[in-house]
Amino acid sequence: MAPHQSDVLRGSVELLVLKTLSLASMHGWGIGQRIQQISRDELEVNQGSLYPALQRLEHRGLITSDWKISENNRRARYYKITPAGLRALGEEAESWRRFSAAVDVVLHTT
Amino acid sequence: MEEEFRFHVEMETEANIRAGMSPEEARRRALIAFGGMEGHKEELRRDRQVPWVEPALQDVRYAARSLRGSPGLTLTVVLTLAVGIGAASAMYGIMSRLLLRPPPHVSSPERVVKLFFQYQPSDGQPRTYAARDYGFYEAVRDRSRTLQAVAAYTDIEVPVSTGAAAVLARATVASAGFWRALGTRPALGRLFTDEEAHPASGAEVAVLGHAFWRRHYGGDPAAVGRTLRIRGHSYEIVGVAPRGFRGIELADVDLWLPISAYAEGERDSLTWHEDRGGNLLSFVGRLRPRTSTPAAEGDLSQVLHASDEGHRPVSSGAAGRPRPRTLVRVGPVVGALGSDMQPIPEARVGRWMVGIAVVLLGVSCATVASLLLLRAMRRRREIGVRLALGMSRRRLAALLFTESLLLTLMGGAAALAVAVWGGAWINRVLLPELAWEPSETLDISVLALTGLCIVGTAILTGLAPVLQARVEPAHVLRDGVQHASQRRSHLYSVLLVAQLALSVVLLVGAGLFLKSLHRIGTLDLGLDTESVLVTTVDFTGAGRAPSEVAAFYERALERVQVLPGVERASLAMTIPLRSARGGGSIQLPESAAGMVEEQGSPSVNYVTPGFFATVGTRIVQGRDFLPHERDDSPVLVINETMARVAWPGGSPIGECVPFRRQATCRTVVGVVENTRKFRLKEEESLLYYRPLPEEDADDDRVLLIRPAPGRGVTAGTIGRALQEIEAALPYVHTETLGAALDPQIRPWRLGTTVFTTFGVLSALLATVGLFSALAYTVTQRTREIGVRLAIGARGRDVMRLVLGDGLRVALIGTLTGTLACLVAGRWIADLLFEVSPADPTVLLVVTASLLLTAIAASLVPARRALRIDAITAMRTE
Repeated sequence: MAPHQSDVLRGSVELLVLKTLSLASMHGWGIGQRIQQISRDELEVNQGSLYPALQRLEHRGLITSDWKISENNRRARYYKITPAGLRALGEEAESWRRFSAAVDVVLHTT
Repeated sequence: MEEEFRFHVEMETEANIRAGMSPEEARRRALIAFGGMEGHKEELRRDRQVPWVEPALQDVRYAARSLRGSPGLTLTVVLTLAVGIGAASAMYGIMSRLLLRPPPHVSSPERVVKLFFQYQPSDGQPRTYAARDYGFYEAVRDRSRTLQAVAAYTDIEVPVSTGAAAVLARATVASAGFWRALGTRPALGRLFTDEEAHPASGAEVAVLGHAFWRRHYGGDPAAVGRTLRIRGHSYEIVGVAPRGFRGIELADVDLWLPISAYAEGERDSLTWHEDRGGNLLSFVGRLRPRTSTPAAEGDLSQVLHASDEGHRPVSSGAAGRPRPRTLVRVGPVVGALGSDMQPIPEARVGRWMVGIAVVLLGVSCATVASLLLLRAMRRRREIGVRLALGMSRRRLAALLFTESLLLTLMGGAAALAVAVWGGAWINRVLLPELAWEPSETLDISVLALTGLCIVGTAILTGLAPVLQARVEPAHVLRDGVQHASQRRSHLYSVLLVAQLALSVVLLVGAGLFLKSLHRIGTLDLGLDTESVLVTTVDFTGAGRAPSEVAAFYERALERVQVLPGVERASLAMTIPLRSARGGGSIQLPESAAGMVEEQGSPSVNYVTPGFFATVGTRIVQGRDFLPHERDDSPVLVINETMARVAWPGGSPIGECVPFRRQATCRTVVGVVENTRKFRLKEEESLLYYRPLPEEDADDDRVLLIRPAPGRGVTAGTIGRALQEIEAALPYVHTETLGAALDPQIRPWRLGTTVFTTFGVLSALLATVGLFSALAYTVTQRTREIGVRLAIGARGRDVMRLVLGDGLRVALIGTLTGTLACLVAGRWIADLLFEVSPADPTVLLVVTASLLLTAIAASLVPARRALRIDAITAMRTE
C-alpha cells in the first residue's frame, strides 16, 4: 500500500519528529528516513512539510540545531530534542491517543 | 538553509543510487521528492524572520512611494511641521536661556543671590530698585551673618585701546569678593585679588571676557601679560574668563576690572567710594548653607539700617518727615530679573512667545492631521479594497501610521534646521544685547523637546487617518457618493474651526503689538529722536584740563555749525535721555514742595542758544536764550511741569527765582514743553535750563546736531569734521538721540515680529485647510451638483451651496477665536503699550480679513462646481 500522505499526517509531523529525535539526534534527511523505517514504510514524510515543521519546533524551543560533520564527511545540520521537547512529546502523544480513540469509537458505532 | 537542503538532496540521491538507479535518475527522483525547493525556501524564509521587521520595511517602502506620488501634499506637510516644531523649539530654547538657565560658570547658582532694595512710599505700590553705595557693601561684608561672600559691581562703557584698535568695551568693575561670591575659575591666567580690587588701591589689572579675547587677540594665550590702555592708563591683562561667563547679568561682558577703575581719571578717583548717598553699584552675594530667604533679608535689612544711621544725608525738602524704611530683598540669579525685581520685558514677552509657539504647533498638527485625513478620505476606495482582500485592520493601521511617521520624521529634520537658524536670527536681530553663543542655541533640553514634539505629532496626526479608516469595506466599494454627500467627517470640520480660531488669536496678538509699536512711535517725547545726532568725545585720562575740554567743544560747535548739510547744532551739559543732573539749589515756590519731596530735586541742563530748536523741543511761552546771555546772565527757561506746579494759574515769565547760596535771583524768560528724561513711560518731572557758560571748570559736554534731511550727514562726517580741529582725538562717539530708547522699544518689536510671523503662517495654513476641504467636498458631490444643475438649479444656488459651507466654518472659527481673545486678553494687558487687549479696531480688522480670505478660498472650488457638466458628472463614479 502506498504510504499515507494525507492531511491528517500533516498535523502530526511534529509529533513524529519529536518522537524520532527522542530516540536519537539526527539531521533532517535522517529524520525522514527513520520515520519511514520505523513505520515500516507506512508513513512517508513529505519533504515540504518536514523542514517547516522542524523550524516551528525550533521556534517553540522544543528542539535545538547544530552544524556537525555527518557520517559521510559532509556538513549537515543536526537536530536534538530539548527537555521541554520531551515534555511536549508526552503531552502530544497523549492527546493523539485520545483523538484516535475517539475516532475509533465513532467509526465502530453502528 | 541552502546547504541543509543540498545535503538532504545528496543523501536522497545516494540512497537512490544504492537502490539501483543511475546517477542522473537518482538525482532527478531526489529532486522531485523534495519538491519545489524554491517554494520551501520562501516559506521558511518568511517564517524565519523576526516577525515584524519584514512587514515594517514593506510599509516604509510603500509609504515612501505613495508620498512621492503626491509631492504637493508631502511638501506642504513637511514645511508645516518644520515651522510648527521648529518655532516651538526655537522659542523654548530662547526662553530657557533667559529664564531657566543659570548664569554659566557660577558654582551652585541656587545659593547666589542678587540684592534689591524696597521701600513703601506714602502712596500706592512699593518701589524696588537695585543700586546703593560702596558703604553698604562694606557694611554687609563686615557685619552680615547670612552671606558668606558679597561683592559690589557695576557696568561701564569705556573706550579701550588694544594697541591695534580703539573700541568701546562693556566692562564690569567689581569689588573684592566678586570671584568668591560667584565661584568662578579663570580659563587662562588668574583673576584679580581682593587687595587689587580695593577702590583706593588703584591696581591696574584686567580680566578679558572670552569672546573679547577671541575677537581681539585671536584666542592667543600670549595675550595674558599684555597691556590695555583704558582712559590713559595701562592695564595689565592677568587672565581670561571662561567661555560664556558674563557674571550674573544677561548681557555679554568684554572686560572685568577692579572697582577702582570706576572713577579712573576722575577727580575723586581715590575717594568716590566714601561718598554715601551715591547709588551707583549693584550687589551680589552667596548665601551661607541652609540659610532661608527671609532670614537673609532680615539680616541684611538690619545691616542696612545700622549702616545708614548718621551717614545718609537727609533729603532736601523732607525736613522733619522721616523717610519710609527701606528693606533689603533677595532675588535669585535666574529668571532675568531687572532692577525692579520683575522679569525684564524681553523675558515677559518671551514667556508669551513660548505660549504662542505651542499654539502654532497645535495649528500645525491640526493642519497636518486634516491634510492626511483628506488624503485618507480620498483613498477610501483603495483602503476598502485592501480590507476586502484580507489585510488585517491592524496592518492597515500600521501602514497608515508609517506614512505619518515618515512625514513627521522628515518634518522633524527640517524643524531642527528651522530651530537653529530661526533661533540664531532672533537672538542676533531681536535680542542683540543679551549675550548668547551659537552653541547655546541647541542644547539637550531643546533637542529632547523637539524629539518629543515629533513623536507627539506623529501620534496625533497618524491617528486621524487611522480613525477615518474604520470604514466598512462594502460601503466604500459601492462608492460613497450617495451617502458621503453630507458626511464630511466631523473630525475634519472641528480641525478647521480650531485652525481658524487659533489664527484669529495670533493675528489679534500681532495687531495689538503693532498698535503698541505705533503708539510708541507717535509718542510725543518732546525730542526729535530720529534725526538728531549726539556726539561725545571721551577725554578722561587724556590729561586735559576741564577748561581745555570746554574750549574744544566750543570750537567743535563752530566747526559743525558751518558743515554743509547741518541745519543746526548746539551744546549741552547733560545728554537728553541718558543723563540728568540734579539742580537742587533752585528754590521753588511753596506750591512745588509736594512734587519736590516726592521725586527729589528738579534736574537742570546747561544749554547753548538754539538747543531747543536743535532737539525739537517746542517753546510754549516766552523765548530761547540769547547769545549774549552765555556770560552767566541770570536767566532761566523752565519746563511745562515746573510752570504749572510752581506757578499755578499764572504765567511764570518774568518771575525771578531765588537760588540757594546765590545773591541774585534768576528770571524766567521761557517755558518749553516737557521732555522724557530716561524712559518711554515715566511720570512728569521738574526740569529747568540755564545758559551754558563759554568758559567753564565743568567739562561735561555733548554736541547735538540736527542734520538737514537727505543731506547725508553721518557719524563719519562728524568725526572727520572734528578731526580737522584736532588730529589726534581720543574716542569720538556719535549716535542718534533715540538710540538710548531702542532697548526699551525692543520687547514690542520682538512681540510684533513673532506674533505677525506666526499669525500669518497660521492663517495661511487655515486657508489651505479650508480650500482643501471645500475642493474635496465639491469633488465628492460632483454627481449631486450635476444633478442639481441638470434639474435647473441656477449657478447662484450652487455657489451658495459651496460658499455657505465655507462661510459657516469660517464664521464659527472666527467667533471662537474672538471669544478666546477676549478671555485671554487679561494676561497680555500689561505687555501692551497704552493699548487695550480688547481693542475693537484690531479685532474687527482681523476677523474681517480672515472672513474675506475664507470667502476667497471658497470661491475657487465654488467656481469649479459651476463648471460641472451635468452629463459627465452623472457618469462620474
